Amino acid sequence: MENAIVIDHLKRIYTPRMGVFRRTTKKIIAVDDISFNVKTVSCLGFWAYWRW
Amino acid sequence: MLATLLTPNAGSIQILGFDVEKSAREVQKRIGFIFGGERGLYWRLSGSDNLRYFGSLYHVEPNVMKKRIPYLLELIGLKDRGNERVEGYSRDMKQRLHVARILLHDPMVLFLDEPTIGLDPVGAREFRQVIKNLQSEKKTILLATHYMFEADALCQRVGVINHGRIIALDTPEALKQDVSDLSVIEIEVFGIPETVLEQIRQESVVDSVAVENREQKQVLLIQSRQGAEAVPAVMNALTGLRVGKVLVREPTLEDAYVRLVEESQ
Repeated sequence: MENAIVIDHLKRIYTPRMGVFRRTTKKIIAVDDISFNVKTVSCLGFWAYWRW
Repeated sequence: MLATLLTPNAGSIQILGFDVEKSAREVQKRIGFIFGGERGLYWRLSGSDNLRYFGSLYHVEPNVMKKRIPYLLELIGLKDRGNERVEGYSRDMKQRLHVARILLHDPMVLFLDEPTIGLDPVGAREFRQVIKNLQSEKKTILLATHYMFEADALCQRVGVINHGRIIALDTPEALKQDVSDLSVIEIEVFGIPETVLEQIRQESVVDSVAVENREQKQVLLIQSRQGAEAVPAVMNALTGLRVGKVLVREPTLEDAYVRLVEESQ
């Protein structure tokens, strides 16, 4: 098998409810339509960038 | 989602040919994952007993465990400390024990989520060697890290996710090539307003600007093809502000990523 991991158009968005009445919703985008493969016996690194 | 703990809103994940949602059990047998941090072990048990306990959860046969636990303790460099209680382990020893834990059922695919976070430099270096050893064990590894040099040292390919989207995915060498003609100017400033930042961004000699907050000060990371010649124009924009050290240096892989992120915004 050439690819151990195959990810196709993956999307995950969180909408946590906040505030006193938990009515306020905010979208937190974890992944938005991403696709990639990881070849068998290889190492793929992902770097998460953040800025204050 | 890759570890079968969450479901995606859309799209699909296949691991070793199994769909993560439809065949979660089959996937779970073939993967191992660790998160950064010290939790997830029984501190009052020894390292060996922890592995024996988790091995039974993974349904590893006792006669297999008898051979596998000493082998794994040797692989992670804890051969002589396996009979000591985990509460006496340093943070990196606990993290290495986590690696042994996820290898008990001999999974083909490993997910490592910021495995060296919080480790001291020596511990982190030893831990990276453990990850390198895993590659010789024919494992497929997906590593998430905040340390660029770590991804550079361990991975054949490196990707960057910004606001949920992949903005780069290539070999470290190819990504470094993108910034080979740039210099980085680091300037310490105290309380820089957004208007001044925008003014610097508009300078023709400036390719990109990022700001890092370090305690009481900010550090401007300015990328420019002009090198030190861009400094006077930038300093002119900073007139009236308190400025600390100014440094011009060669770009690193981290700078390549900062540029990619800046360009994607």
